[in-house]
Amino acid sequence: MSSNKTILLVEDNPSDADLTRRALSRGHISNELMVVEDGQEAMDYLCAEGVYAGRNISETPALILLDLKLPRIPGLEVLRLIRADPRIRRIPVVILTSSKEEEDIGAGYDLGVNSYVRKPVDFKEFQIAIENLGLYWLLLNEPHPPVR
Amino acid sequence: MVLLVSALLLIMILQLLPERDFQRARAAEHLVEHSLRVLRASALLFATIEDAETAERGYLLTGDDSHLDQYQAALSNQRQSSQNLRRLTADNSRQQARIAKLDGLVETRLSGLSRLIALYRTEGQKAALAAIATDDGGPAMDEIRDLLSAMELEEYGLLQLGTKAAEAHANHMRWILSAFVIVLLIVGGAVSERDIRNHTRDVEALRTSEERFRTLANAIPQLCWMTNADGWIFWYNQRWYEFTGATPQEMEGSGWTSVHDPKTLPAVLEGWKNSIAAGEPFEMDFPLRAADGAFHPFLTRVMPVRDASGKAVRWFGTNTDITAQRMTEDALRENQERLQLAQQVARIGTFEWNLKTGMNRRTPELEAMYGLPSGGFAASRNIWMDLVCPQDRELAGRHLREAMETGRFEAEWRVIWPDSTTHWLCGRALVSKDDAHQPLRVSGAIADVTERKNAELDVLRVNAELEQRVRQRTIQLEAANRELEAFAYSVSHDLRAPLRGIDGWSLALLEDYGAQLDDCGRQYLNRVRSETQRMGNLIDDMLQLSRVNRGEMKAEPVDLASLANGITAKLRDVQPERSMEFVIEPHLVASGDGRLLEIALTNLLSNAVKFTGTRNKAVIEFGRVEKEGEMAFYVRDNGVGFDMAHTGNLFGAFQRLHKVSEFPGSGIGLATVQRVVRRHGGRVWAEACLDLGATFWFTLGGRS
Repeated sequence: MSSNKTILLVEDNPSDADLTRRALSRGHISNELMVVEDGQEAMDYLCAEGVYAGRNISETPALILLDLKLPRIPGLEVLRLIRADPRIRRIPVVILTSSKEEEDIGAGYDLGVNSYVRKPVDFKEFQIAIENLGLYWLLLNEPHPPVR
Repeated sequence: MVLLVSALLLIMILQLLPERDFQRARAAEHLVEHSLRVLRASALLFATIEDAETAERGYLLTGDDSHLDQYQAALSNQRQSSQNLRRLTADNSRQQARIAKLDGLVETRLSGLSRLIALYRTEGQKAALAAIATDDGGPAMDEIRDLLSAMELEEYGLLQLGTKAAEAHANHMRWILSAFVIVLLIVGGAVSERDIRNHTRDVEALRTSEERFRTLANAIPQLCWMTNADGWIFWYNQRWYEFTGATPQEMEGSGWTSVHDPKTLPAVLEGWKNSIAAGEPFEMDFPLRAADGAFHPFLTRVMPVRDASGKAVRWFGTNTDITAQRMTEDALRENQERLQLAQQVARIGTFEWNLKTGMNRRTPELEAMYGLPSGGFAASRNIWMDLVCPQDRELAGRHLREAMETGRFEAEWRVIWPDSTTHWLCGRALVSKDDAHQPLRVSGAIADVTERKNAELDVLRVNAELEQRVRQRTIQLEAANRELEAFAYSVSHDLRAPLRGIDGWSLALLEDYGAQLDDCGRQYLNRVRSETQRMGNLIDDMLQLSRVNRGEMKAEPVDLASLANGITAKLRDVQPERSMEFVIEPHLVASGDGRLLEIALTNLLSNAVKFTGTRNKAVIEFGRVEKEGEMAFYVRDNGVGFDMAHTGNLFGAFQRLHKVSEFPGSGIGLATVQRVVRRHGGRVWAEACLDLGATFWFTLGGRS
């Protein structure tokens, strides 16, 4: 059980971030939610750099919820950087976005995304999606072994 | 024998001679004959007187009476002669006067003789002889002799005149006759010895021959005539008289000059005179006047007829009317001038190149196209290829080689003029071949097309510029389009986020504070949420519409039946409570883009499901029929249909035929279908009737 582990949400829209938080809470997913607002900040957090320097890099998030449209470093680039960095490459990444574009979906899978979820407008559907995600990735899924 | 035949011919030809010539000749002969008779008569008269005297002296010396008989006979002859002379000279008063005087003298002389005879008889021989010694008869005899001499002298003079005239006419006739003989000999052929032996046949042959010549000479279209060695024309053919309208009398001697144009006559006379002097053939063009007074151009040839020594003894001349030839020549010249003018005006040059001799005949217009003066090609010793612009030589040479095979040449090439300017020429030619199918001659026409070519090049340049501009504009448009698409994509994403917020927080309000709101308040919040979701769907549809315009179009075999089956399965899942029958024709393979076709079919089938919502049982068919050689697909339903009068903008975005409250929808579905179909090169249309269902047709461009 990874309930003690952090969920990293990369989302520049505070409303969406709060709705996600609400959905997680209503879905009884008690993991800590770490929200970063752009791609650069996400990388800084993951690599314990910049404002996150000194953070223990081995404490990797249990799941990364990644939006695609992000300031500074776009979502797909963040994904590429994660998969290119041996220290963090095994972290499950779920793309959570408004885009249903084939191009984006394809590119996400090509870069090694674990799951691709489109955010529905209907909050109820959104909540179901978030609950399912949490259930699957935090409970059902066997976490990756730590990177040595 | 030849002489005899000639004589016979002469007799025949004599009948052809002009009567006047005969009369003149006869008159001259009479004159001569008359003079000769007079001379003979006067000589006879003198002889009778001498006879009388001789007989008288014989009697006086011998006394023999037989001398007296002779004397008497002489006296009788003398009287006859005297009468004869008087008659012969009846038309000559001078001679008559002489005869009167002569008669007196003769009378005196003869009476003297009678006196001596009487004396002999009466007084004997001695007295008679003595009388002779003193006789004055001598002077009387001398006077007679003188008178007769004067008479003879006169007649000799007359005789000389007569002889000359007769000789002249005889000469004339002789020439004519000789000429005829020669002509007859020419036409009829030489008279062989054997023919001559057969007299009758000979004459007949000659007559036939002569007839044939006359027929021939009169039948030929030419005018012809003959002259003697001096150029004296003694015969014309019938055509001459017909043409000139002249009579033989008018043509006599130098009468022929009267039908000549006075302007050309001096030159004709000069040339003719020179030919006669040199004995060489004469040939000249000059006009002759026809009977109607009009002058016709004639080609005249005169050939000498030579004797064995080569001397020209006759001339045989022909005049050929060359009016028609002149007209043909004029017409030809006119045509050539016209052709030349046409070539000048059209700026076309022609050539004819004989491949065997290498001779190339070019018109001045053609040479001008190479910047050369007339004859400039030959003068410059250039061959064609030397003047062709070096860049075009290979091409021009290839065209020419191909023309030897195909027989046709057509090419455009540049030439460089001596002034270094470049000109465009366009040439077309035909290659004619000999019996062995070897190229023999190339003939054709060349036009200067510099202006057209420059215009063409201008057009090409302008087109290239235009294309470049179009390319640039297309790139700009494509960039703008991409920007727009990116914008639409971005907008639709960015719009969804706030919608999600509105919906999410409305729900949060309901969930967290719903108890504090009354039913109406909660209803409002639900309205907010449903509108939000509708807008979410609208954005999704717009995204789909923009998506069908983007991306590469694939052309792959797509089974539309299997696509439809997948779609209808989903539609059933969404509304499991509905009674729906889908009739899908199996195996509808078409070439297209599967992803786009699925979008289109989804829209059409969703519509069919939606508009059959009020039916107890929906029957939706999907199939294919051939329409006007084209495969057309259809989606037919038994739904509410629509009024065809309002279908003008059926396929435009946001067009709706039904109230949202009845049939919800964005109004973008059919616009999306139309875009998909159009991207495939096909078309889409609808057939419907209010309350009787609708059929949507579409084609996919390709022939089935």
